[in-house]
Amino acid sequence: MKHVPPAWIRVTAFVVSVGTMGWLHLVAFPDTVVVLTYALPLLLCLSLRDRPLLAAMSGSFLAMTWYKSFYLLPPATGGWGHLAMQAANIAIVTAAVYRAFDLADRVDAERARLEMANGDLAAHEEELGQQNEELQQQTEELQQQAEELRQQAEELHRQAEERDALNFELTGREDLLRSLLDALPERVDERVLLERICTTLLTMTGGSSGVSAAVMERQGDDLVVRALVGASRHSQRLRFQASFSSIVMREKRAAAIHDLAERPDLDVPELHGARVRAALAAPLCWGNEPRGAVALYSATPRTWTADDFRVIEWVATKCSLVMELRRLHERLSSSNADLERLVHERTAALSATVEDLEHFSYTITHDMRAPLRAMTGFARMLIDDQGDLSDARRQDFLLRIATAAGRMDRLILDALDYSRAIRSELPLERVDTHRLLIGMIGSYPELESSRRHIHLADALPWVCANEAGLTQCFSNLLSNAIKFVDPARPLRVVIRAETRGKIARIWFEDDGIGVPPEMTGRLFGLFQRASRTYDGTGLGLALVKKVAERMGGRVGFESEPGVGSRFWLEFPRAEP
Amino acid sequence: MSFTLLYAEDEENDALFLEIALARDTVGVALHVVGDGKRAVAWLAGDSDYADRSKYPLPDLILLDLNLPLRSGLEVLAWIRTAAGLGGRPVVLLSSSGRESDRRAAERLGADLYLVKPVSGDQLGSVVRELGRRWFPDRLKLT
Repeated sequence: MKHVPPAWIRVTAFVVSVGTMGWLHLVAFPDTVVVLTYALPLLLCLSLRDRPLLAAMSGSFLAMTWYKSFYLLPPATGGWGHLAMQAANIAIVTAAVYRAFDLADRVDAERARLEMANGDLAAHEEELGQQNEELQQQTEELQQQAEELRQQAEELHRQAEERDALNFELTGREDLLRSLLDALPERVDERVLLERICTTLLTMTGGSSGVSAAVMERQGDDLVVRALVGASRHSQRLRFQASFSSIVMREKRAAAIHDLAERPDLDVPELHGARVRAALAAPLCWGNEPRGAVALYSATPRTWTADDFRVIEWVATKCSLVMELRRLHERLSSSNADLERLVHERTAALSATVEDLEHFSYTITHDMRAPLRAMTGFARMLIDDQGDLSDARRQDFLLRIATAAGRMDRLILDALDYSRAIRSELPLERVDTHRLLIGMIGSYPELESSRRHIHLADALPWVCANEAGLTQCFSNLLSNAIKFVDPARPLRVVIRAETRGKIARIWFEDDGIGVPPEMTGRLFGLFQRASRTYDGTGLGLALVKKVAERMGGRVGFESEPGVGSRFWLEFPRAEP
Repeated sequence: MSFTLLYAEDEENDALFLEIALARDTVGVALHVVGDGKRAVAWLAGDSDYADRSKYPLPDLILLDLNLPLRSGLEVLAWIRTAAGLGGRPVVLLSSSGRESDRRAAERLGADLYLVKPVSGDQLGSVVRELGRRWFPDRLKLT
């Protein structure tokens, strides 16, 4: 920065310098050349660096020199020579000083510029310092954030690990659920299903060696191992009451024993010939009852974790559900099979009944047309008679018409009995055959004349049949026994019984005409008549067979023509 | 020599109707009646009781009721078709019903004719005329 001295200094310096030099050159030594030149006061200007002062002093000094050279000094020393020398001196010094001023100004300017640059630098430095400070703060913040991020990353990593563990467990659960769902239908063997459950349980609990999984079910006093995975040899049956599973079944929750050495009282499985050392079990329930248990066994003492508990409880719940569903499914299938069987049986019975009825209606039509044809034919012949028929012939025709009408009536009644026997309900009950036969023999009008010829054994059994049905059968057999007899021989009917295991057979033996061998296979058929000598419709034995079979019984006979017949009825025995 | 007809029929009235119709509508036709299938076979086979052919001659035509006691008409027919010396003899089945399955069974066993008995016995004359037209036309009375 350019230095400018105050005005009073400049004026003082000018006055003093010009006064001093004037006094010296013009007053004190007017006629001599003074040694002390004007250069000195000019040099003074260097300190003041005042160009106007320098110019003023130089001018003053040139004026004083001019005045001294031509007016004070002798021409010998003065004059142009002196002026020139002094003027040159003043000019050189002034020029030098001026030059020094320039240099000083330049130095000042440079200094000022440097100072300015320094100031800028300082400002910049300050700014940099601030920025540096800010950066430092930011760095600290970044470090803090980095720390937070690191912590978050650690948290995420931990969560990822947890998620992986959960995923693993979920995958296990999903696999098991899929297996269980696949196994719901009965096509998957139950043992295979239970082994899958054991495998999943082992996997989900870490699958360490020396650990086996088992599913057990209570059967009476025993606990039977239904499936086992993780051990090739294992007890197959335990005492239920002494088993660890009985405890979890009773408590209806999972339980564990870390070292079975502390519970020697428990009956635990042996793995590879050695008693297991640790167990974790959960109950299996279906039908609202504990039925068994799923268990993990360890060959060495083991501390079961909360995860182990959670997994086995989950597996037990799902296993119980599937077992219950399978039981229900089995029951449903069984019911369906029963229903189908029942429908099949009913359909078969219905078809048989329809077939019977068709056969019956066909044969009865056939047999009823004979008396009808007779009645119509003889009646028409009588109507058309123009006196050609004798009285005896007319009488014969009328008798034949009456006989045919009677036969028609019997056919209708027997047909009604038969059709009722086909259709009516015959609920089974305990029947005292002895009491029934005594009652029948004593009260039936058609047996009245033959009553004393019928011999009843002392004891006849109780059977499982229907009393009304039995009455029908007995009645028909007794009627036949007293009807198909040789008039030349005395009537004799014997009723007796024999038991064959759970079956009672009641015999009706007569000394009648017997059954021709040709009739053996068809005697119980509809409208089958072995003889036209005896009145009958051919429905009696068919009715006996039908009714007996509908009551779960059987009928048969043994016969020798001309000697007699032995008809029998068989029914399951009943307690009196 | 008369035309011989063996009729196996358990319905005595039907046999009487046929006998009356034959007497009324034919000349020289001898009717023999047996009451069940077993007797029919015995007659045709000439078994001990029926060995006398002068008394139990082989018939020119055999009439069989479908529902015969002991051996049914179809059983007798089946036997006839396999019996030596009888195989080609005409056999007619008579039935109370026109059930198609019976008719087919009779045809399968080789019956020459299957006739349904009329509703009224006195109309058996139509059966006689049908038989006469086929096997003994010269024995039918002119009406």
